[in-house]
Amino acid sequence: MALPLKKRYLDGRNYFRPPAIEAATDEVLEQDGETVIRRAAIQERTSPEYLPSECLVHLIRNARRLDDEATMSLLIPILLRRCESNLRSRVSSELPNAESIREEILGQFSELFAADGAGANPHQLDFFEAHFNKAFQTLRIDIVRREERKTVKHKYVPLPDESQDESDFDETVLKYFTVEPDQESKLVLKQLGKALNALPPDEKEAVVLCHILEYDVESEDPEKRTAATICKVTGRTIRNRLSRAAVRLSSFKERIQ
Amino acid sequence: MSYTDVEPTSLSDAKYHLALSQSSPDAELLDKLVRRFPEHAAALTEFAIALALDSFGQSNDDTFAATSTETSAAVAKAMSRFHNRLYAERKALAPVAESPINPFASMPRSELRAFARNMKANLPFVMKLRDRQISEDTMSMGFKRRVTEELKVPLDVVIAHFAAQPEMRADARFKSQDKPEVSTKQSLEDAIRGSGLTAEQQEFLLKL
Repeated sequence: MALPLKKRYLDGRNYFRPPAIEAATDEVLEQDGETVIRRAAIQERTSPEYLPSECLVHLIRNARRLDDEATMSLLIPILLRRCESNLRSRVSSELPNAESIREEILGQFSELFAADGAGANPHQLDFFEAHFNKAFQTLRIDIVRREERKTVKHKYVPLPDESQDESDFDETVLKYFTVEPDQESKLVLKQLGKALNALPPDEKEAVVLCHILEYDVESEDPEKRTAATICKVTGRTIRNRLSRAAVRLSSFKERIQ
Repeated sequence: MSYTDVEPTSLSDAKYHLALSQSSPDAELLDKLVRRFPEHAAALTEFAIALALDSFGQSNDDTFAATSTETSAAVAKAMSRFHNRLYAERKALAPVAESPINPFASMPRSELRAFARNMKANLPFVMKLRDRQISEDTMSMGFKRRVTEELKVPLDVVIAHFAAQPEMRADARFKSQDKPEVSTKQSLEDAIRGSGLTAEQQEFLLKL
């Protein structure tokens, strides 16, 4: 039986594996080493013997607890190959240092296993054992942001003067910020996401705060967090940024019409 | 060192909470976390913006399907980092090896002189024995037994003492401004020949 997780959610409950993960982990723990390695190497996710990444994390941590370096050396590369495949699609190759960012993410992830049980956050891998995709997404986002700050210098095309006038986001574009993605809208959303990411940082921040996280531009209540208080600028500046972003995204609107 | 080594646990916990929220975080959830962790307000807001953009139009079923069984250069480098970190973690946990007992350490100069006399040696030679300046593997078993008998300590204590790294006594005096490094060990024969011993003393010690 898999050891219970020790890390706690913010509401105080212990982290727990989803039932399907718990069952798969319990099952594989009963199997011999050869079977475990064979199953770990299965790549077809539809195979009934496919091991979810959460199970692989558990098996690697088990080997780490037993100081079983041979098993760790067999299982970690299998998990890393899965992660590498994810990073190829989720770390844009348009970034000038995409390869080194992917390497950094894989490197830091592998180090988590070596440091498991030690340091200030000894149960950090519990998150990966319970919610692998979300945990890896968090790690990826953090490292990409850090690496981007170090190296990426954006160049943006200046807008014509009239873009300083307040322009609103077109309804055609706005509706995509709030819809739940279905098969049909997925492609459009992917394109919109790419267009958003290409905005200058201050405009991107204003758009996400106001149209995705749904903050007010400003408020008369001095205690209320708004896009203006978060960005430490006036409401007018936020509106200007939104206007400029709307102009830049107008070409996206033309593409989807 | 990874950023995860230095990031406060409360911040990573709050980020995980945001990541686990439905499809994308919203202002209400973010404000709730900022009220709870005001010290991380800026970091959490920045993360929430990045997360919202990252999750935009993505399903929860992210792709983690390996398509190759080959180990790429990136995976090989990550494994190398894993092994290096594992080595560092193990080293940090390993108990610090205790320095072997120096059976000469507590002997006042008068006792050292008496020991020198009994060994048919002189004080400079005994200092070399005390400071582990003579290589243990060049000493005959007869020599080690004689030292053991004179010191009245077990043979393994004597062997461990001679086999340990040479040491510089804390009270040693030296003329240069920098503390001198302990040099490599001498052979027993070189130590006997180079300690100002008489021919008779040298012959006795070499025959032990």
